[in-house]
Amino acid sequence: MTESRTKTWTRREMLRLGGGGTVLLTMSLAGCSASGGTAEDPPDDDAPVDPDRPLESPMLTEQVEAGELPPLEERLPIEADRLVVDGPDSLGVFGGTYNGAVLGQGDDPWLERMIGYEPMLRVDPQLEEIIPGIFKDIEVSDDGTEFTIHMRQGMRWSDGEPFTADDVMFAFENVYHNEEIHPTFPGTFAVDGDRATAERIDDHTVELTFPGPKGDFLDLASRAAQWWAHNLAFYPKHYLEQFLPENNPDLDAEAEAAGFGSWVDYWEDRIQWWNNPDKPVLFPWVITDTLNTGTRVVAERNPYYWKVDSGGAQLPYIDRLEFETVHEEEVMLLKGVNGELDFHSRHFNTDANKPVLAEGREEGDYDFVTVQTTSMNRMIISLNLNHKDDDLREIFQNRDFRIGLSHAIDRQDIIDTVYQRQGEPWQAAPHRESEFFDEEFAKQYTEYDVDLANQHLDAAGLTAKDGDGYRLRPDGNRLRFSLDVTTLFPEWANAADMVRRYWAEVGVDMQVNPIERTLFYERKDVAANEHDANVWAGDGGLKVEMLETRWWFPSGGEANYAMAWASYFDTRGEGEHAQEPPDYALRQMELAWQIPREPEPEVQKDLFREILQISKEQFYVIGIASAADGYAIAKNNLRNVVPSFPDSWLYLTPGPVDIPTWFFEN
Amino acid sequence: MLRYIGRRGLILIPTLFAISVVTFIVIQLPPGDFLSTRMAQLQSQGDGSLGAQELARLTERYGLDQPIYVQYWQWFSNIIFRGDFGDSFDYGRPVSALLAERLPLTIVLSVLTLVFIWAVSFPIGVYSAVKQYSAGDYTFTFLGYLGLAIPNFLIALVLMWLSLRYFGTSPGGIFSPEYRDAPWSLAKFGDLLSHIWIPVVIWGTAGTAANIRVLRANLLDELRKPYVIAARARGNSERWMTIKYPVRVAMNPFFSTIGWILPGLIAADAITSQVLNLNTTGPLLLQALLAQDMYLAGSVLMISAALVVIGTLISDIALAWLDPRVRLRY
Repeated sequence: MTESRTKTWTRREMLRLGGGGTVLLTMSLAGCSASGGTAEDPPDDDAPVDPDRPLESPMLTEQVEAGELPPLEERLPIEADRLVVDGPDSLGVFGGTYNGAVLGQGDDPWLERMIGYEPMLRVDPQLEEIIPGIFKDIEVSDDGTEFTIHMRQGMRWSDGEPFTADDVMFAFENVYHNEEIHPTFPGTFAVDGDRATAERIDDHTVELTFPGPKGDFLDLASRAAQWWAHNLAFYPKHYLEQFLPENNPDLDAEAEAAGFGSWVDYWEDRIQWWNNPDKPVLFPWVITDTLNTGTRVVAERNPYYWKVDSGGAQLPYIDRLEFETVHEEEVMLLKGVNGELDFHSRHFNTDANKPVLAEGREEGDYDFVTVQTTSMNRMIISLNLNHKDDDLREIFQNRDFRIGLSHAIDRQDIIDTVYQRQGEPWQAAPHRESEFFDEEFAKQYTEYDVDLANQHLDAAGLTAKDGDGYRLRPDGNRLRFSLDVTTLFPEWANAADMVRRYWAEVGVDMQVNPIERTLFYERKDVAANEHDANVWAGDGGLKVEMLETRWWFPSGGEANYAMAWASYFDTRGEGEHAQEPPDYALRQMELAWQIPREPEPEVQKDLFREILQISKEQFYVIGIASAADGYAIAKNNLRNVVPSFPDSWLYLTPGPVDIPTWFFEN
Repeated sequence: MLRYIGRRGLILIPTLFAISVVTFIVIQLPPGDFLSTRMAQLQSQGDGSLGAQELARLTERYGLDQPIYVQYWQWFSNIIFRGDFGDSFDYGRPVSALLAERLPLTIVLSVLTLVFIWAVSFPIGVYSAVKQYSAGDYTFTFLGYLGLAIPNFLIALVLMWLSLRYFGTSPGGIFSPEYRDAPWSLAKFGDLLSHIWIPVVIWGTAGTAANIRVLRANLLDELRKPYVIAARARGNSERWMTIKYPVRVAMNPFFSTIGWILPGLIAADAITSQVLNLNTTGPLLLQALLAQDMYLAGSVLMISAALVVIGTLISDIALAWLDPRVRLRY
């Protein structure tokens, strides 16, 4: 095992290889071990492996002996095509039930994170490198336009049907090209809107040809695991073809009989695997008791799962997952304290609850796992640069005004008072551990200096004041605006109130407007555009810098400081409410459009650095404090859990930490 | 009597129609709709949001792009013409199936609570009235007020913490995890009892206090009436006389509230159930309202409103049967 632990491949290298030469990425089997990147000791290779160690769960052996299931060899892919995965601790033992919890109906993302992270390729637990996943390999041509998908021979869906090139072709031709399911063709399989073509080479090979270089395809392939993501390995043809109208003339009637208005709704219901146990999957566990019935969700092991450990035993180790449906976070917290949750990294893992959980560690027999933040800021204040009011818009767009407000805030005081002294004064700039970290960017204008603040505000032309010492707008009225704050993080309300007082000291009248989050979203929606200013967290900034771009330039639906400019970027200027941004933002957008067309990762990064440079100069938003790491809880007898993993919904974390290798120590 | 019931039944129709309109409007009042609420929830959990196209498609699928009166008519016409309460957006399942799943536990808890309330409040109420202003009366009154005054969900959290801390009972739900799938046995029954007392006591304390006060007040009125003095003058024993005459009359409120069990079955104390993680209909309604799952919330409210009306009718009839002085008019 040690010898075969070949070089691991970073995402960068894979992309470079993709551009620079055709290299088969499949490494020797054991080389695919995904345990890299953790501080834990690697599996103890010298320990003698019990020759009688069972290679499949006793639960399955029983079924094989009863003739209900074919033997292990027939259920796994051919030996050369099995994905070998070892956890950070050791080889595991079979059996046991994982106990967890979901927070009501809306919590299907937790099931996806725990069970469903099986995209076309994977990332390692630290989100640093792309490694083989469902597909053994995706081979890239020199010019970055042809991608050859190599599948695993003998791989099967959870119902025992073979998973072949037909399924991939079905996904590409019948699902993604279906205009009713996908009114717009998925960008994953297109370059600048021009579609790729797919060709079935043989039973286990498919070739995708793009009209131009597709520099981000492997990256997209390594995180497309959400049910609505673009994953060629999500659609079992033999099951799903009956739900497409071309294969089933009675489909509309069937959809109606099942209580759906149209076949598309029916289709969508059928592919949501957590509510449909009939849909074959490639996941380690298969849902047997769905989320929308009863008081819990149960998933049992997939007898056809295609990963093995280095001892040749079929994963997963744990036979069964049970998630109790809990409606209240407090109840979940009590369950955590009582040691009833084997692993949980959601809902109740807030800073405020950490002392309670810390106290219960011994009795509850669990411990903390670090969940590294991928955000760069706890709280970012966006002034609406696209404000409907001409005067306010002009004032907010004045860079001196924003710099003045930034200098007026005593960030250290906020950190000490509200954030338990965790974090440091920080702008909306990449995280300290990011490769794009720029000290100057992160620290600019964070110095608390009332005089300097006043100078900048005066420079912004706001010199006239009223009797109470508040600055006046050009039209002679008091400069006054509200700051929308949701209750998502309770600390925000306190911090926002402190900011209100700091700004009052420099003559700016801001009112904190605590609102319900739905209303928050409605007010900031590009069509409504009713907010003056608001507060949100600094998503992105570490490990996902180039993917989460909302704070670098106006992009996506969450760029609260310039929703109309962001809409211009998202719709390429065609959105109903899009406004053409000024030159500097336009330049950033052009750079962002250029990035995926560049096959060379270093070039991509240089383009991205240019985007960051412009956002540093423009200083769109005011950041407060750098984000601190979060935590998860894990029972002490649950083994192979990494001590630390980054948090990112893009990658459905903790999905990438190889949950199938978890096992219970007796 | 039949005519009375018939007339009341007819009044039910416009009442329910009015209720349905009000219900629907109230559900639509908060900003946003099911999808925007769902999006906000996804955001807050760090799960990212759906794309604009996906959103547009779902909006169309759920009919959220149509004017409110069209949405209302779709919902209401399906109920009256087809008896179909619609599907929950959140669960993607029919409202009727969701309710059916939760009714058994809700009924068991409601009935147990009612029995608890009666069993506790009846003797205490009689005692408090007969021994007015005694130490016992004050003690029970004090406890009753405490039970009435402390919010149920607060008692729920405290009791749950106590039972976790001192009895090691798994918090929430009706069974510990290890018994959930186990066949019925003495141990499982014990586990059930170790959980079920919490909701029963919580709901019981509030209901008991009210009942004690009503029974006490009524009985005090009756005890001073001439027929009591007359009975006493005839040499009846005090205890027998009290139970036979004034207590019977004072029991009217028990019967006039019997109908309230019905709506309670559907919209059981939602917040307490939510906190205790009981799979009753209450949390279903609460969640539906929070998520703006309008057909589910609307239908549950409709059904429970209908049950209030029916329950009141049953109470009236029960009272008429019990107390011949009550007359059914109009």
